[in-house]
Amino acid sequence: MGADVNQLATKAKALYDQGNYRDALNVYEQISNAQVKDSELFYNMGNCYVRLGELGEAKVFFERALIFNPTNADASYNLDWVNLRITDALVEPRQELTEWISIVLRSIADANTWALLSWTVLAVVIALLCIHRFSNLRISWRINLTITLIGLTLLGAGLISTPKNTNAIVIAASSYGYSEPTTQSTRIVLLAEGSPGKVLNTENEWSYIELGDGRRGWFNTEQWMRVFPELRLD
Amino acid sequence: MWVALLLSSALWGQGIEINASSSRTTVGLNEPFRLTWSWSARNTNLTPPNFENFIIVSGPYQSSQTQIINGSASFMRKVTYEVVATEEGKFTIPEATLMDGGRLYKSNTLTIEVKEGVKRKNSLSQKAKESFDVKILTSKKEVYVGEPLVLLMQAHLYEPVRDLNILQAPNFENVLQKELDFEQSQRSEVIDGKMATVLDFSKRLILPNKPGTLGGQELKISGKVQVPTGRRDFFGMPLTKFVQEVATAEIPAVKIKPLPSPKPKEFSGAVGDLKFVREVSRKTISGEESITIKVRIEGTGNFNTIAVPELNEPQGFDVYDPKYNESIRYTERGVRGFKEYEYLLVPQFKGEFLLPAMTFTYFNPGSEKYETLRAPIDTLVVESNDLAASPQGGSPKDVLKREVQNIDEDIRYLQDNDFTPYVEIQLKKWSWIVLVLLGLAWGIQALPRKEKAAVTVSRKKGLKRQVDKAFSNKSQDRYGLMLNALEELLLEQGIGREANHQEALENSKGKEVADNFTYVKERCQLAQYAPGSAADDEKLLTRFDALWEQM
Repeated sequence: MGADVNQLATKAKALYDQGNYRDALNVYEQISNAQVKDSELFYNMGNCYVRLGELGEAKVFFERALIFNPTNADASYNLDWVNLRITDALVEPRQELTEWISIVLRSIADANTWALLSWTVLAVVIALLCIHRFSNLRISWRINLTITLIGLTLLGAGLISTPKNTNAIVIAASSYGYSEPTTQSTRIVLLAEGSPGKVLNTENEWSYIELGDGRRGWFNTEQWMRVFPELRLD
Repeated sequence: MWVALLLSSALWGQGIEINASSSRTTVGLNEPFRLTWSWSARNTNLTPPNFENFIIVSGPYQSSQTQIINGSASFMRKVTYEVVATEEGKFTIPEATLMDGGRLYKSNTLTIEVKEGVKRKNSLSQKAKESFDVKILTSKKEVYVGEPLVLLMQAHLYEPVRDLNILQAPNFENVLQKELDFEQSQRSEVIDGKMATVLDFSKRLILPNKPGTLGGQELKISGKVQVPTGRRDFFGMPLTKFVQEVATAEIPAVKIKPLPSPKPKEFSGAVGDLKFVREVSRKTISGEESITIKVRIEGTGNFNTIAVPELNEPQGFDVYDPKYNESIRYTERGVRGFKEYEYLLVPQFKGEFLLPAMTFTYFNPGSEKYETLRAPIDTLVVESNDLAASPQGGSPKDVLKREVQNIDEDIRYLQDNDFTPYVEIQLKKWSWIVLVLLGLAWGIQALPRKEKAAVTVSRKKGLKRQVDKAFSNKSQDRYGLMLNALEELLLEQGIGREANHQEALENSKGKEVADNFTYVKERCQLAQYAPGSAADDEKLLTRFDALWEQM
């Protein structure tokens, strides 16, 4: 499987170099469909969208690349490049403390690594406690408690570093926000392509989205794309 | 009664007889021949049959003839058509009909056999056949759906020909077909070793709507060819006459390719070389003025199917139904012109309002790519003291954060990586399992021990260190500490609660250890209660160390 996706990646790169950005994007989507979730893959897809002039989608994929690797400097650079060329709505949604911690932790290691590390430490402490209980070897409870606390901290790091991004971005040329999930209701706001928001709720083809300034509105789901996961808002 | 019978039979005998005849019963394809119907009745009109499988090249020619022989007058009318067959086969030309005096009269039917390559009946006719032909030239061998194609119809005249006439034009399905304004031209060329006059007589623009193959359709033209009769006039000059002749040509196959897949989801269906324009008359107005916005598609493309995108309406304005303008010309390069919606916007509130961006995606056959054209976001400003501010909440100024001009920088290039499929770890599930196990591991520590009280290795080391330190410092509680250490040792051996330690130790560790234990214990107790009788500390510590090692 790994070899297949890397062959596809080589093909996609060749298509990109020839200027066939749409075809290159299709090949990268095939790789993505094979459950590859690498930061570099999403970065390359973002590049294809930039070349196709679809800056809303490009922004989604650069942000997704940064979720999987917050230290991806190229993705960060290209995201800034896109942001300079699109008109943003309001400000970016507020970043919560847990989200900030999550990004910092993911900069060090991904969620799976944190989890595996914590399980290993906790397995060691479980073994020590069993030895302490069922053999003559006596181990101080202070040692066991300290190792337990370290293991639990690592486990917490694993859980916090799991991406829980509810951000979504406008991928249509513009998107109207309504007071209710129907076009008959009052228009509250008009957002340009690339505008971000947080998805609070979805109902049929409508999504209830909070903007950076705290305003909320119902938007047509088709006009937005989630940063994480890869699915649209449905 | 006999008289009546004779009269009626005489009247019956005066019925109109219609005679149908053909100049040839076996003809070649594209060989004109004549069909004639004759009948004897005045003031009557013949209804010709349906000429299915035949095309009328010329006619009808009508003639009438009156003869008076021995005082008896006879009348004869004739109708003649010159026709040509459209395909090979044996065809029956149905009867022509005529109404007279309330009665319907019918002619006989004719059977005509049409064969390819039938030899002409005389050299004159054969020569006429070879005197001109027709050809269709296509501007491209393959085109995309919606891409223009030009057909040039060309006649090659080897003899003088006049009255050229298109009998049957190619008939296409699923295409837009337009005759182009075109100035006919003629020139001389050598074709197949013969000098010919080449006449470009028609140009057609074709815009295919569906993929497939264009070809096989026939063009038929007729013309009158001047051919020598072989006779000479009074002055010795050769006599000529004009003969009707038909030539056909088929369109060479042109492949109509479907548009490349996948099509972008916002693809408008437009194909060509197009521009998308959004013109805003004014961006800053007072409350009494209005704004005109024109949304226009212009250039060369399949304007027959192009739809102009609707305006994304800004807030704060009344937008009236748009006025539609179009100007389309059919040229050799395709359909050129524009289609446009003109919107009138009347302000309802004062403030700054966002005119949303618009996009238009079309297929460019030149680059063979889908291209997206964008009209960027704009700001419309209404300055008025009479109008209220927008009640929609939030100044639209806030909505528009920034719009930055392009700078001379580009995105960074692709990244390489060995991609591996992501392995999903059920993080929460396994974490819960580990936590439960951890809880159990801590839980079992609280269960009562069966025999042994816990004296940890570190604790033992600590006790020994304390005793050694107390004796080196000559601490007053050194004997108490030594007794505590002994008790801990007994607990570790599981005999801490035994009534007789001496006996228990003898059973488990031997007499020497038990005696040693008793000696150290007694000396310590004695030294505690009678410091004057204190034993030699060095000797006591040596015995204690030995006992510690033994136990």
